Amino acid sequence: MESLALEYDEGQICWLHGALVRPPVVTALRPAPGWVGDERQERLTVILEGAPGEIHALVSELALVLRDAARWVHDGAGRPVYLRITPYAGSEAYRSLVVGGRAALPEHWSEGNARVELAILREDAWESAETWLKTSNRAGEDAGSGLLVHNHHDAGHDNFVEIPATAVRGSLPGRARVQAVFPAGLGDLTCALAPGAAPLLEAEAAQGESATLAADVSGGGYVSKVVSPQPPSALLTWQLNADDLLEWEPGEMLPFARFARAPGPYSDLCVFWRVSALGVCWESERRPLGDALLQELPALDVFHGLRGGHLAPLELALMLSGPGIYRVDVDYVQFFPAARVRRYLARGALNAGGTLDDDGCHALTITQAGGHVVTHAAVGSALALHPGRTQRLVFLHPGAIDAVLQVRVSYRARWQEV
Amino acid sequence: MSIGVVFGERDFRAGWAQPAPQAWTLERMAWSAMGGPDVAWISATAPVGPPDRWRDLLRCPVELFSAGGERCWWGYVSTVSLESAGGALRMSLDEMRNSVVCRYRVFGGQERVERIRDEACVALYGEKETLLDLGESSPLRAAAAARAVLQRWSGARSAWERAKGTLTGSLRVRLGLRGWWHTLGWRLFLASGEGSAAVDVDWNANAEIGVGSSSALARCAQALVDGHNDYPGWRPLELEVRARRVGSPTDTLQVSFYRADAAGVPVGLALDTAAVPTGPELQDVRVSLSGAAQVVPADPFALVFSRTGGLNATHYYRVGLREPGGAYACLSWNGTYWSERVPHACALVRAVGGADTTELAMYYASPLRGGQFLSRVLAEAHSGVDSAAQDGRARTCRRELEDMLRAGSAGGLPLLAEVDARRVLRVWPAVEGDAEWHIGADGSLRPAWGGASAGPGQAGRVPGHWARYDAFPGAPPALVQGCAWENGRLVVTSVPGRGWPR
Repeated sequence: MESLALEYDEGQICWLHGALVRPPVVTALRPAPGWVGDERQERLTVILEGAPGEIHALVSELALVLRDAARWVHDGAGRPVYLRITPYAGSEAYRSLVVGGRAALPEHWSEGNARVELAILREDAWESAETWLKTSNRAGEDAGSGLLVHNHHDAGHDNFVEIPATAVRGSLPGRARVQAVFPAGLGDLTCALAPGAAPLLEAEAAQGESATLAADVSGGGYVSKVVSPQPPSALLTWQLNADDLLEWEPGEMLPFARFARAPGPYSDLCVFWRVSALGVCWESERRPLGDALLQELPALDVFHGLRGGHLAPLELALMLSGPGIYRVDVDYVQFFPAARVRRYLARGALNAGGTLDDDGCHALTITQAGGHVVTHAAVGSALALHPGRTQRLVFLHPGAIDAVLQVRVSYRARWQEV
Repeated sequence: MSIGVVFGERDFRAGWAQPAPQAWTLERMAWSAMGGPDVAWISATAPVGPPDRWRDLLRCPVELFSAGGERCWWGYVSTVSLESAGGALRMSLDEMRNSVVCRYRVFGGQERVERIRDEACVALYGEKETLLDLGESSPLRAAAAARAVLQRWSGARSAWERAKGTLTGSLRVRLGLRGWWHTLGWRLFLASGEGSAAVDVDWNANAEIGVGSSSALARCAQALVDGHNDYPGWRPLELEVRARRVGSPTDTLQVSFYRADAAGVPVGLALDTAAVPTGPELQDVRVSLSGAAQVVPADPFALVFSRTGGLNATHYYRVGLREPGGAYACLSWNGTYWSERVPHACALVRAVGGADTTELAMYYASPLRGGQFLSRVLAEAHSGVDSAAQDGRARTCRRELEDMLRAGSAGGLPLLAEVDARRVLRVWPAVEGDAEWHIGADGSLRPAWGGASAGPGQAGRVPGHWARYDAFPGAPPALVQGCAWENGRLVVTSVPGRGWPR
């Protein structure tokens, strides 16, 4: 072990072992850590030499820091504390979040010399230093100022940043930090970490549909239909062949439909999915269709109900049900894997520009003119990048279709053992 | 299990908040086939701070998200419970009543219904009514009794203020959440003659009009109107009339349903007809219609009396009248046109009927009645089952709605309902199908297609679907009526034969 320290208060370090230790700390002994549930327990022996007052002061500070660590983890107060280690000379430094612990002086210690027992509970993972990732999409490669991300995905625009397989190190998924600069106000923002492309179905690519051309829609066209869906009828039907289905993950997907014009509002129109393949047919839940430009549709698992045999070709129909006559202008539907969605729900109207900053741990903040304002509530697990896998971080929001975000992604590689 | 939690504004303004702490633990989350999200309990440890910030969450919208970012439960904050080393506090909307409906009879008079409200509380949380049935009373006594009920909630607030100083150290916050369906039980429904129409006069005959005695009295008609303009259209199923025979007519007196113009004159063809049994004395007679006609509230309709045989001045029928008449006069047909009976009078007739239960559900859940927090109501298909407003009973709109749902559809399957995250109430008939879920011996639910165990995001999609018991593989599938996510797994809480979850 080259060095060992407790790190807190954004860079303040209390060295316990190594060349940088300061009196009264002499060194620390670190046996192999044990387990307490899913967490690791470090039982450190810190050897101190100095005036009794100095030793008391240091032990008190360590006890306070460890109590703050527990408060941070359990109730959001206190401060984050990390155990920082450099395992051998020339190695990078790693840190592990401390979730609790205590520091105690032995009952009998000679004045000027003490062996303090530090029992530290920490996460079962080590993190490397934060690294900005060279993400890319068709706008180019992030050179440090962020990558341009549009609010739709078509032949000329991308609504994702791609993280190359070689960029993410570690033996565990590493927590990502996302910064998105937006020039004007930002409402709810939804993003998902997809292993490949998040499937996107353009309305004009549906069976037998012809596009209504427009400049402000994805792909330059959308489908406008006036329907009377009683009994329920398919608004749009897509044929998915075997190659298309490679993009679809098993499990539930959350579809988000973008409309060229907000539907209705209609009070009695329901929407659902119908999937059919080789004589097997099943339907999703039904949901009332709202009047927003971007709407979450009923969750869908395209492989549900298809037991064995060949899946393709598969027919996916967006169904409507209602007693009236309705006009619906669909631009596209994009599917996010249901287990990897992170939503930033706007806390209120925000018209100015700023930077959405999600470090996956703290409350979400926007920096505006140097200030920090909590503007969004984040739900869903923190974004975690899998080592050695190409991944895409896909974004959708109800703003204008040509609205852009300038997205930067960083992460800390995580390791089980170092 | 940790869960993402966002709280909204009580007045449904746009925007969400996520007060510290962010680490919420889901204790239990339940769903029902009647209303969707049912109850949930979440808890967290919070730093010391003003306890009122937690009380201020009462009746605020709340949404729960799974770790994967899927919206898995929604509703409002119903109970706030704070525990600390020094003491504990609890406040629950379950105990709140801020509008008292006093029903009483003044001495020797008619029944009166008065509402006495705590306006400030209603403005804050919405209206939650309770009924005081006082028997014989007076306005002053009713007001005093109502104030005593309203005082209980004020007492709960005072108890909170007194006890909040005892909280020390970090707090354990437990929030009890309820689905929006529960708010349909906040208001009472007191029927006031919906789904019926009667002449607006005293029901005591003081005159008669002949039917079929001469060409000037070939037929008679009485127009009615149902003044409950927002009530759904209903089918007249029963008529009450007052009639008798004169002499010994060998034919039959019949009453027919017609549309009427604004003046109450019958127009078009008879839409429904029933025979009226008669005796020598004037008596109330109830006759059943086939239900082929439809009454549209605010649109007048007419009931026309005629005889099946020819005119006869000796053997004919008479219909009871009340002089003077009400809004619409009794008309007689002379073979060419309708003319008003002189002096002005009303034939004593009354019509009652039933409406489709899904239409009634929309009526009960409208913002004026039970659905004070709903954004809209959507009935996907008609149930094919008629019901009527229960006259003389005071029940919550939720009880009325649940009765409608239990009655099911004409196909014998139950009706299902869900209030979605945008507070849209959707009602639809269950569909018969294959079992999509399996119920294990311990009540746990797992998908029938053999996939992974259901996650919290799927919990809401189980009620209203069919499941098969592992222990009885040969038995027909049962409709899951309730399920809950607890201890990290999805379990069934209610299937037929085990009662409803509430």
